[in-house]
Amino acid sequence: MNVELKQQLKEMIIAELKLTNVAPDDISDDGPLFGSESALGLDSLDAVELVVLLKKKFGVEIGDQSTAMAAFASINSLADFLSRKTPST
Amino acid sequence: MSPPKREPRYGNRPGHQIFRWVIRHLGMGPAYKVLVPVIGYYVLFRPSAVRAAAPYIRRRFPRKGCFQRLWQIYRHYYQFGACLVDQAAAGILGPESLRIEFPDAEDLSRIAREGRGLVFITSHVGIWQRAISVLGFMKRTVYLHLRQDPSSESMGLAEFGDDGPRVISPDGFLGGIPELSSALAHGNIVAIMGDRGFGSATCEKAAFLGEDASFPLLPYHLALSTKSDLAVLLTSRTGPMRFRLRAVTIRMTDDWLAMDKDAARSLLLRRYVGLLEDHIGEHPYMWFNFFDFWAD
Repeated sequence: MNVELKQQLKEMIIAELKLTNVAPDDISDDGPLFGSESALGLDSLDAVELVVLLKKKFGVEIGDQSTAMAAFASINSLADFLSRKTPST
Repeated sequence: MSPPKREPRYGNRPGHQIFRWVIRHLGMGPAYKVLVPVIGYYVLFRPSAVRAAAPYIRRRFPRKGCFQRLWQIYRHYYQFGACLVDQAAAGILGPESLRIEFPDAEDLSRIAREGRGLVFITSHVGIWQRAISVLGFMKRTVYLHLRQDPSSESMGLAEFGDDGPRVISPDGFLGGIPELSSALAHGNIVAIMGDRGFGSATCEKAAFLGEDASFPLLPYHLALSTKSDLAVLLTSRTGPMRFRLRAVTIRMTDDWLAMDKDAARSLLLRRYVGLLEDHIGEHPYMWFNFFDFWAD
């Protein structure tokens, strides 16, 4: 799995979603990004930000619920999803 | 996060069938007349109906006595009933039987031709769902962020089939946000309720009729994040089978985009609340949120 990409994603999430008191190492690779079981406390507005950000930075569109569920299951899933959609990452 | 708000349900299938029969066989005039005893029954003998309308009526018409307030609640429900009768009639007689005046149509067409996404903020005023369906002239796909229930059919969405608005459910994972973002990214139109958040919608308090109430932030956040324009849609009933649709547009200019997003979002929310207050100031019996909107 692409370690660099996972680190980049964690840093991007912290910076762009303005998460305070969270370091990249605090974000688990296999924990969910959204939902009651997530430690990040992201809400629906953060979901908008993340969807728009992924389109802007990686050119990848998450346009339906099933894709979102698979991609946002964890940092591992998101990195895997981006690697498949953008072979250069 | 705000808990889901539930309104009491009134009427039943036989009741709806009676209205349909009256519309079909006797006409619109008798249908409105049937409303009079029906609404009277609800106001006099169903305390839950009075309790559901009272929080709004009390704030919209402060300093009124008990009987005056009951009369206002009657008028409120009568207008609601008349809107439902009109929509049922449109379903029976055809959509063209409903006259919707829309003086801002040309302005909206011009904005639509620019190809950016457009977020319509709808409210529980008039016949808001059917009003959305007249936006076909904009030649863009319209997506409604809407919890579908059996009453949606009676609100006139079903008869438009494939040409009508498409529904994005706010239920489920992320509440339809991927679909809404994608629609806007492709220059389409999304319509979101401004005066009710669904499920786990992120809300903010704003002063509304003198007291703080929670409003969802999603429409403003979506517009700011996707650089889409905003339009506040407001409808009012001007007579039997006649409605007026008003659209107040807020272009997503560089000034808005340069602002701190949280501050811009709050300002846009307050602008919407001001427009809603103005509208119900002019049409006091046209706001159909029948629950305590101000309760936490």
